[in-house]
Amino acid sequence: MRLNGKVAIVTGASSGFGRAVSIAFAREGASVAVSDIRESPLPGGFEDDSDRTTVQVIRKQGGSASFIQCDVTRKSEVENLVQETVMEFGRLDIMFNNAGIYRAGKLTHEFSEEDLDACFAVNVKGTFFGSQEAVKQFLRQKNGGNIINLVSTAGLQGHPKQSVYNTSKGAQANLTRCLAIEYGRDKIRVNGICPTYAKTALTRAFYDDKDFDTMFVRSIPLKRWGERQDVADLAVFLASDESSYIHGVLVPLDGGETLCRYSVD
Amino acid sequence: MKPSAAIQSIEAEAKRLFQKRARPLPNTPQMNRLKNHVAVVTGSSSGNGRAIALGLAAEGVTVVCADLKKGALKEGYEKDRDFDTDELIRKQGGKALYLKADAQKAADMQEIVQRAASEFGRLDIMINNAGVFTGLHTIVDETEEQYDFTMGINSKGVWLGCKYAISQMLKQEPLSSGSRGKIVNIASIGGLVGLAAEPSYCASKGAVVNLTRQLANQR
Repeated sequence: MRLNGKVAIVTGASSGFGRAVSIAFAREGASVAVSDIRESPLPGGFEDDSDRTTVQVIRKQGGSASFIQCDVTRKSEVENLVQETVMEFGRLDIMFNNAGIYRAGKLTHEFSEEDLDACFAVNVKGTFFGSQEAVKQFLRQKNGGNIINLVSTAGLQGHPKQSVYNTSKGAQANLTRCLAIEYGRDKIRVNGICPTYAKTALTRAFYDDKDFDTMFVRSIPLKRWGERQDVADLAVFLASDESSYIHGVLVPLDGGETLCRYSVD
Repeated sequence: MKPSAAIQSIEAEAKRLFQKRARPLPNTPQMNRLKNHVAVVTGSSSGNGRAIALGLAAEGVTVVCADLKKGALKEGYEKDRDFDTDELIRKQGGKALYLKADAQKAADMQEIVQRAASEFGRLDIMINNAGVFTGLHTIVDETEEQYDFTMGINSKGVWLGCKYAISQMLKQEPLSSGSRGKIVNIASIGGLVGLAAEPSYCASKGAVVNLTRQLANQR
């Protein structure tokens, strides 16, 4: 058990990456504050146990978890999330800022201000608030801490027809670096995970589009979609002491997408 | 920053409750995550290569230890450096074989990969770790011999290791996980940024970084 006795918060934890990460953290011995705006998984996801909540899955496996509702775009709710977690589990060791939304399908001049604001509210402000409140708690505990931000390959490079999303992910990527510089001295490690398209409710429409599926898989050197478990495995590693000298990095989790302009079949 | 008295008392109470209900669980070290894998580690006698070889062996890997000299460098920090890496692995119940190899020689690099395959059946993991550093100097003072030596081990050695490892990995059947093999190249931050007074070292490590990207994309 690589996270034995640790306490983690995962935002956006009812579906997709957040759910897989929560289950993996709990399996490694962590107590998990499962946080989301809704308790049940989003429809359209790929989980084969979608009739159960994340907390139900974790408890069935003998792990420790509680659901704490939180809209990460509201600072007061994020403050409450950290406070309730500390009330419930006694401390905080790992903050996984995962909650995110996606907007795509338009050129930059076609996007509305609402699209931009929505991406920034959840992806940027949510991660910012989550990091702020986690850092405050870590500093009070005086025993370090660990922040992991779910960024995206969209935080590392440009993609067509999703500029509002990529802009918000770029902001998250650079926030990750800033936090790492500021709080390394306090033994608070901060890193980012940058997946490419993976099988979650968020990308269901792309996955079901056969033309996109063919084009996408061809473009990835490892020739497959990302999986939720890929994110969970990396999250456990970054949250554990095995990665104790890894700090301020944005790890591409993309089957090689970001290293090349084209892939050869 | 000082928390309010109210928060402090809440935290103290929460801590008390947590300690009461916390169930201590056995913290078992990770073991055998790479059971039945076969690895080659270059530069395995000292430093990073030695730690990597020992770490792999602890996870169940059979390790071919390759280095110019079998013994650890005496300047190192290992408390157990009187023991050679392969001896230490066997002492701890693992399987290891030492082969003398010069990473810049094609015949040597081909030999260590072939021996891994002939002795242990396959090659799952290639760790191209062997590297040299000739000291701090500007390009004005650096000699051509220093450049050739640095590039020979650090760049050509990694290229040779990848070349023969990939040839072997393409020949063998994939593992049940679907993996045909894994290559880890030890580069350096000197391959990502310019370090003061290390011209050929940075050039050699930059080559490792981009060779890694190229191979990840295409065989």
